[in-house]
Amino acid sequence: MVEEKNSQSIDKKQWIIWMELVQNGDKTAYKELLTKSEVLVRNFLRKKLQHNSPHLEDIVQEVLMALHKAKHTFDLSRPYTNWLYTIARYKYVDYLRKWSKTEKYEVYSDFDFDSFLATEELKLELDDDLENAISSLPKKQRETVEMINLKGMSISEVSKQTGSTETAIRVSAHRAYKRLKKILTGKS
Amino acid sequence: MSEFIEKLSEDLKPFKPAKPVWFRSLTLVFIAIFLCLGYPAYFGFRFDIMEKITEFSFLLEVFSLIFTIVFTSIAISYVNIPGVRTSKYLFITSTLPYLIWGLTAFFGLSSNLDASVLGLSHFTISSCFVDILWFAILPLAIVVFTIRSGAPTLLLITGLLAGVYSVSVASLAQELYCGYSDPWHIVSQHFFPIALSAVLGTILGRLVFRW
Repeated sequence: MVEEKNSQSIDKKQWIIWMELVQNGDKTAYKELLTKSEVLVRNFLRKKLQHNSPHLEDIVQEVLMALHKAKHTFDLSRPYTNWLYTIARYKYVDYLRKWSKTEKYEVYSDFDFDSFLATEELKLELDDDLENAISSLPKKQRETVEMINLKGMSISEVSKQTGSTETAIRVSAHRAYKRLKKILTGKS
Repeated sequence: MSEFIEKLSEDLKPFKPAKPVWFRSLTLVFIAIFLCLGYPAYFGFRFDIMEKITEFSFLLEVFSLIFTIVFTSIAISYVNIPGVRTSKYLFITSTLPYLIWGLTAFFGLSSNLDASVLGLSHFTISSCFVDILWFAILPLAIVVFTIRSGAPTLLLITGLLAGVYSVSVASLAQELYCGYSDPWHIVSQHFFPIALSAVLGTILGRLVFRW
């Protein structure tokens, strides 16, 4: 909260000074600028998203990435925050549009793998088949299933370890389950 | 997140800021002038060009297209910069000359029915529509490259402007080359491609300019 206030109270000129340094390749100034911008973007998005939205981190990351890509478009004679908020708004809408398309593929970290296998007997019988089926999955899907269902990691932990977004992990897991279901029901 | 910021800052290299709006606008206008004059200079100007430059309807068409090109060039340069508030309204200004031309062309069409019917024969023998679309590929490629080097945030408007700019350049060049000037021909072969490009540009803008 204190950090939020600090970022908002930054003088307009300070942003411009940082951007001038960034244009000359000053990494320290850039890190400072990104850190302060992150706070502003987070605050901006919190107003738009519901409290504790699982998408907040993803969108903040997307905005910072967009800022990095579009940094050359910043005009030193214009206010920095206007420029930043426009990018944030654009990325927020873009993310929601993209997400609404993949929403139907969403799975949740509390996916009940045991009930998917129906009964204990079937589970025992399927152990070997399941192992083979998992090993036949594409690399990314196999790793996702192993991390979530065998190692018991959460979606966010997998996301951090692999460097992919949480949405991508969910989609990957969903596709893996669908594929496993197809292989296993086909065999039975 | 701090790791991500660390990565981004490590990735920083010195860079040149984008050229100012006036410079990019002027560049697009000069490209348009070069293409508009280059095309008829290569294929030959229309045979009645000296007579036509004294006719009001021809001058209206030409100047509407010139203003459309100039305004769309400025608007395209503005929509590339995030945070420019006026960019939302620029597209209205930039398409206004074109719309005025459209209104007068339709007025000419309805008030001169004989000429319009006569013009129907040109519809089949003339390929201005196709020529304009072919010729628009080059200015379109240039304008797409220009826009993609920036950071447009209003993608539908950007698509519309790109479409109108590129086909207006082609249409103006064709205006200086094509010898037909009856209202039906002008509306169907010279005016309509720009309207089509505006619609297609709006539809495809999000796909082409997303970043």
